[in-house]
Amino acid sequence: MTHQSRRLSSGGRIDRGRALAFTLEGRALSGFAGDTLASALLANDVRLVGRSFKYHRPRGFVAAGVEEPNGLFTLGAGGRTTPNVAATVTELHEGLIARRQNGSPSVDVDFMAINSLLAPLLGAGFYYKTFMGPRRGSWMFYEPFIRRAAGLGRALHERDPDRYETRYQYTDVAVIGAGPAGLAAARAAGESGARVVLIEQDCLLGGSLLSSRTDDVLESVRRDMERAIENLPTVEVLRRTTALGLYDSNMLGLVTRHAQQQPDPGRGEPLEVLTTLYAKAIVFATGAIERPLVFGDNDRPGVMLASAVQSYLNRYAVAIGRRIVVTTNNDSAWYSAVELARGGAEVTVVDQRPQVDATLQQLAEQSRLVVQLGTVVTRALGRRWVNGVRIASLDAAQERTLDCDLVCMSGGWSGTVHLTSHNGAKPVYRSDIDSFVPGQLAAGQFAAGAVKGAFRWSETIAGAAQAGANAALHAGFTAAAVADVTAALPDTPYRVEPACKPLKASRSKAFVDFQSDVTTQDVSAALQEGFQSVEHLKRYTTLGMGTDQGKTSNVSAVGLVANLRGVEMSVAGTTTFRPPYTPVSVGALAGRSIGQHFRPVRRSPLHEWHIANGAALIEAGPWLRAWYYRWAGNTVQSAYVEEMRTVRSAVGLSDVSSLGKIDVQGPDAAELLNRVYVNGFAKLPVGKARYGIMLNDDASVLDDGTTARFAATKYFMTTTTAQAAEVMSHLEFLLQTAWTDLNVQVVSVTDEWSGMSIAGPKARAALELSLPGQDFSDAALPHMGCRETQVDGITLRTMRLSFSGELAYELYVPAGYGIALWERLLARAAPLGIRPYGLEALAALRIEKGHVAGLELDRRTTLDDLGLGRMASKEKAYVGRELRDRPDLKDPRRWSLVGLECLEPSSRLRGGAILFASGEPLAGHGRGYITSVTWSTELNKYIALGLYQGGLANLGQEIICAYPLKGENVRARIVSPVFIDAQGERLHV
Amino acid sequence: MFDTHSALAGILKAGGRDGARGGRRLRLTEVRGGHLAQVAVFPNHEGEFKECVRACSGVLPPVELYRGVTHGDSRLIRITQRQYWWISSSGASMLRLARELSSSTGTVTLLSASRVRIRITGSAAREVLAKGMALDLHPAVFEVGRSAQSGLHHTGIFLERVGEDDYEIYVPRTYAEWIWDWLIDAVLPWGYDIQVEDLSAE
Repeated sequence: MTHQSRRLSSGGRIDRGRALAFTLEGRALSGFAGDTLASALLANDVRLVGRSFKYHRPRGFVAAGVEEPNGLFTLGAGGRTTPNVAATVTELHEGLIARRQNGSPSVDVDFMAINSLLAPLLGAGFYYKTFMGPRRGSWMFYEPFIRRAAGLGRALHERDPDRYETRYQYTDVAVIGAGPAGLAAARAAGESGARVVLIEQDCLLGGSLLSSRTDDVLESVRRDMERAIENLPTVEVLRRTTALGLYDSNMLGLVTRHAQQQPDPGRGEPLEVLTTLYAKAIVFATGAIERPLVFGDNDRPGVMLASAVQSYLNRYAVAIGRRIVVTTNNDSAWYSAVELARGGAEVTVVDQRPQVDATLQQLAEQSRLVVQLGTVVTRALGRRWVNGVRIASLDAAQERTLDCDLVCMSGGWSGTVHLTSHNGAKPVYRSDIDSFVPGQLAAGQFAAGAVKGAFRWSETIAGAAQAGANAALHAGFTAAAVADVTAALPDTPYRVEPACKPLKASRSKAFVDFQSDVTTQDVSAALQEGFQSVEHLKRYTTLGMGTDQGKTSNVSAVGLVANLRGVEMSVAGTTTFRPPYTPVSVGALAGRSIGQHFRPVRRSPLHEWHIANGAALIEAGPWLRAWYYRWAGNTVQSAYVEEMRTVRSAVGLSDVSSLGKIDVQGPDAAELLNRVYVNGFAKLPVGKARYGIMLNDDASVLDDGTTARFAATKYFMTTTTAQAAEVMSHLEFLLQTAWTDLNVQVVSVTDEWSGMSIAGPKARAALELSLPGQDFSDAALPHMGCRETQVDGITLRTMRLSFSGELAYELYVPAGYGIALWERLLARAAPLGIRPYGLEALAALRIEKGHVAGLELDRRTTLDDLGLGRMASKEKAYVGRELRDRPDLKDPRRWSLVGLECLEPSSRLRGGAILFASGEPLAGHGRGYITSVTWSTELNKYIALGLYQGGLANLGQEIICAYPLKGENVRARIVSPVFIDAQGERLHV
Repeated sequence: MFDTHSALAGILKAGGRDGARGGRRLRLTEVRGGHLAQVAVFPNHEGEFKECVRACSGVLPPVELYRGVTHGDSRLIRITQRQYWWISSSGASMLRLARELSSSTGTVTLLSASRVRIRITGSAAREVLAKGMALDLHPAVFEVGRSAQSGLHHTGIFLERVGEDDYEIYVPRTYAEWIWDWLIDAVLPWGYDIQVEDLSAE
């Protein structure tokens, strides 16, 4: 473990009693609790923290917060590896593993630094100019090489063992940011009795106050404010929580990090939690971010933001330099300079302004600052760490060198307006503070503090308290009086003038965006090439498109654009801020919606039996269904054929619980059914069921199914599995909007009833054996008959109808009794050879019979396409009737239902095969496609249903079924889609 | 006789597990054997409806949405303008209502088998539900006795707050295993006990 050579012997907000060991590329280092990874690295005198994105220039830390553009590290090992994490917001914890990025072979010795020599070739838009030729598709060749050469960290394919969670939260007032403004706003809102959630990305409250010395009056103010918040019972403080995005209806996305606790996923402890927070009112107290200045080689390690250096000194007790140049255009940097001088450094202030306020001059004298007014830094000197600067007067007449070991820059403060504009409120420019501030906020949204340009303590605290009170009022609370803490605070003004553009062109690069390696030359070139809008310029140069989203570069870039175009800042405008404010892990977005929790799974009431009895399962939409049973074979190909034979020759039992089931009751139930089905339902007798088809408004088929009438005003509707929810919504919609005069209730009872189909020539005998006392004779229960009876105290609904083409019955019992009935049927009818059959056989049997199902009902087919046009009543109105007569739907060339039989015994038909007329070129979309296919146990060949241009007008024609994925072209003949028992004799036995 | 079978029979394992900090702060209970019916009234028939419901259940249908009234072991909750849920440990009175309620007055749909009733008990119950439910369950907003139709981890459920730290969710039967699996995962940090309460045995 190394000695922390740059750590001061006292001061800071670190816990020196808790030393923490960590590693940097395997090198053992140490820090203290309260450190960030960045402060600990700086304490250990680690200066080089990465290589730049494009030119592989050496880079050091610039900032101390979320705006850090350079100090991105890969953290963790194995599946926990996380790339591109800003060290400035990473709390140090015991055992933390860190690696620097983008060096080949290492950041210290990086051969890719040769890119700097190729810089003239790598300017703005060089991808577009260089890699698009010489031929179409060349980019695909270049891309892997470019991706290897550029970029930052690398993502892994290894599974992340950590646990992530999502949650919802509600509050009256959300206050974002716990700096002085946020604390004041939260206090005012909290004192009203409103529920307040105070969101702070840091582990400590105080924001900019945390950069003050712990013996400063500001610290006592901070503590007072923190204590006041803690004493408010309705205020909840979310530390280590970042507000990532603002969405409609005052919804916020938050991420809370728990890495410093080293959570154990095995005990359910999450690493990160994504919270969706709904607030009645929001106070944005997001503060401001200090801007860099743009000058030659301003990206050299050792050139940092003034506020960051102050923060490292006062919060983390890390002295980064002893001979410091502070270069600025505003007052705030002077106060940082004073703090650095108090820390023992020799400080020279280089201010571009020819004159500054007398109070600053006095302060400088008291603190023994050397002051250079009307002067700018033109270039930083040194390579791996700055060792001096070139400074010049504004007219560039005099230029000289100042030796130093640290450069602090401050180009003014940019309001952190990102969240305020996520919902579309465009920020507006205020020239007096050279910053953008929130635009017109939505109702219930308020801004406070530096984000809205309030830099004086008096206006910050008082304004924020008022914002908090207003927010509470909006949420329905009466705001309480606000305690005034401003008397104890120095009420200094903030003056700034826009940073002047870099004085002279030199061979050194002046960076506008450190992370994306965008220089002033790039901006200038983009403008010359016509990318005048900042939105276009952003995309052409990639400015602001890194993981830092241009937090330090945006305003500087806009200023440069305005300067070069000769327009006002307000005219140049800003780019659009979008969520997330800071990078968010995919794990946090996914939460627990992974693995077995990924998406809802529905299980039949018979599911447990299927599992216990050798069923292979298949996903069918959300359902897990029995696909085939291993009694019939170990593969689906062998099993389903065997199951089909059982049904055709004896009797089979299939689980049809997934069918949609709707209870339709009321005096107008028959009228409702008569309107939604194309065929007549008004006169369906009690005790009978009828097959029906529903259309969408546009006359495409919505669904088919059977509805049974169990009493005068009581119907039991079944739908396809796939369309159950759709049909239910359809009925509800019509009853609640179009037909409010109908007295009908519809209730989904899909979950209420367990359904099973018993099918085959021995089906009746099987039922008679299983349910003695019930009359299943043709006279008592004819084809399409239905009845509700009691069996051993439970309700049994029986409908005699067939999907397979065999004698068949559907049985429904309350779901809890499904397994009991199923087992009884299998046990008592065993002498008849009854066996369960699965979804594959169920589908195959219906193809032989020519019944359409989901594959044919694809919301594009019409009644006529499916050969069902004659079912439609001519006597009544029904949904979809009017649009059935559109000319396009009557076109005889439409793709419509046909049967297909394979003409090549050694070949097979395949679902999705494209259909061509015999002899025509096998290219394009063909004349149709196969929708469903099966081996027919009755015909001993592959058969299929398909949609074909002109449909059955081509009966008997030989066609080609092309399946390009496997290079197959198989001959088939167009036949009737009803392959077996066209007269329906098997149904009426 | 046919035996009834819980949707959770294959997954519910009695016992529990300690939380991350030791102890078991939550209890998950499957409440079996209860009865549920959805009752609806047609326009202009409210008077007859109320009388018939009162005769069968012992109480008048509640006026306020998502508020229940209780009489004996019967609880009626208004879930829409014209629909009510009737929850009871006995199904006989529901069958009586189904027989006696005129078809022109309203309807009764038995749903006892369609929902699995799960009770979540403990000081962390609200936090558990917040992991999967976009509903403000703060005591000042969602008081004891309040209910709601909502979604839990992408699944439509009915929720009722039955005590200070007690919530009951009614999950569609075919989603019950999916939700139970999610719940067992969600309660992990706090520790939990699992139990079964059979109303039909009481």
